[in-house]
Amino acid sequence: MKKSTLFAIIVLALIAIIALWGVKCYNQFVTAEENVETAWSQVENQYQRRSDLIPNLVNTVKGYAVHEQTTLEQVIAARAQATAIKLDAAQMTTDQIQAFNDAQGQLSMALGRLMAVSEAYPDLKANQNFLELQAQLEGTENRITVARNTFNEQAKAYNVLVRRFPKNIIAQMFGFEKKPYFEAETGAEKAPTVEF
Amino acid sequence: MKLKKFIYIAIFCCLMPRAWAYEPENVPMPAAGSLVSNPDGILSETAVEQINSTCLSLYRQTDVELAVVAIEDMNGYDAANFAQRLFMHWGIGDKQRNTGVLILLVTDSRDIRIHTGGGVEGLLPDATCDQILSGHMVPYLSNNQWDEGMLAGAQAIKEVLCSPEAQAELLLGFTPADTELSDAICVYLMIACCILILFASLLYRDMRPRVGETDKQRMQRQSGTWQLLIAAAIFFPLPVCFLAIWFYRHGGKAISAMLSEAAKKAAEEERRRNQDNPWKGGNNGGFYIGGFGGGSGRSSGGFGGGFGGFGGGASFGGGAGRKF
Repeated sequence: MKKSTLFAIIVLALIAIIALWGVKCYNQFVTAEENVETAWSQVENQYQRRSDLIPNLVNTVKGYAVHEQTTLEQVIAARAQATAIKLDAAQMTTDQIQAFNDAQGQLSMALGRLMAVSEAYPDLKANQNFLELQAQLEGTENRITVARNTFNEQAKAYNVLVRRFPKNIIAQMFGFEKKPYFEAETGAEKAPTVEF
Repeated sequence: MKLKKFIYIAIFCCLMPRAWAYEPENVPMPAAGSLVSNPDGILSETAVEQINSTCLSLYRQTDVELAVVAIEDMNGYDAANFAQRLFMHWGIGDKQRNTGVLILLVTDSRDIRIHTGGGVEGLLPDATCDQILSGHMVPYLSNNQWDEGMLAGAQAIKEVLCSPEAQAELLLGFTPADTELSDAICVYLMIACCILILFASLLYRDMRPRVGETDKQRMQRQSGTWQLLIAAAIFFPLPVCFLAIWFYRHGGKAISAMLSEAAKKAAEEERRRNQDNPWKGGNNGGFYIGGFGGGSGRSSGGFGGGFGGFGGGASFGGGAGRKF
């Protein structure tokens, strides 16, 4: 076999292998990024679900707990602030996610206080509507936790994929950047515990 | 001596009938054909049978997998967290539609939880789960009547999901898994196409006899192309086969005759050369056919028959839990 032919074959094979590898990496990144975005939309959905419950809850509590005006107002204010923040999963920064986290944490705290004070009203606790809302709120808090955990897992998986050598070369070539994720839970982020 | 003592204690601990503090990942799976996990013997055998037949009947009617777990200790976990991790670890429910439900009873911490998969959240909203808990289960469970409480819970869930409307909704989204050509094969075919075009042009250029050229000169000129073609046939068998077929079908008699003659001569030439040098074999391999085209099929889970293991469903954390 002629030397030039052999050389041509090797080059051809190398190009084919590198191209295959590059395409595989790129597709992995796209899938991972898509997963992160899906997970983020799930986080937003669940927070949205919680804020959708709040007007109903506030109205129900208002009818019974007449002396808790400030607590109710705090909840409404925190909700307004929290819903004002919308993030785009494709380009979010650590600061943005922190701000989002803080705003939602404030709302969690206000809700926790509201649930705590409603303990003092037996009529309210016997109200069927309130019981249902309470169950829904608890379920939503669980869903939020699950969605946040899933998002963190996906973001971490993506970051590991994008930052490890040698795939990071391909990642940089096509502009796949590191994604932020939720830092360890602040105290405010704990679900309001409702004891019976 | 110390080691011996330690081993005795370890054996003693193993033999002692004590409850295991479970992690979500090491709760024993239900036995084959069953949906009830009762490792600590909290539920009686008759109750397990009754609950299991309820679950199986629900599974046959709606394809919903209702898993029932009764353990003594969950190692200090929060019930919702434990249920979620157990749910995901087992993959309760159909993979596409996430139609799974888990009832988790933990007797030491007195926790009861109904955990719903993503696909049944609409039919079993948290408030409904809470009502089932407080209406059907907690009255029994708070008296330590585990059998009655768990059976009532399973039956209540079955009742909700087996209503005609619910059944219609659950069976609506039943679609078989689709198969798709994997990306690697697509890329391979793309590259193969380029190679095909390249070789077609090469062949076209090199295979025509030139004016005033002896056979030997032509053979020498063409031998490089042949070698390339053979190498390509090894890397990309399909396009080269395609190319060959195309040439024989559409190339006209002249080309095919010329090609077959050239191939014959090249083969002779190769044979002669190989005789000269016995170590240099394998160049005359001809077209490599086969070794490509394995199917990628996925069998979708059984439906309507017996229960054959969890389907890989997911939960988003729905459901309700209570202390009793």
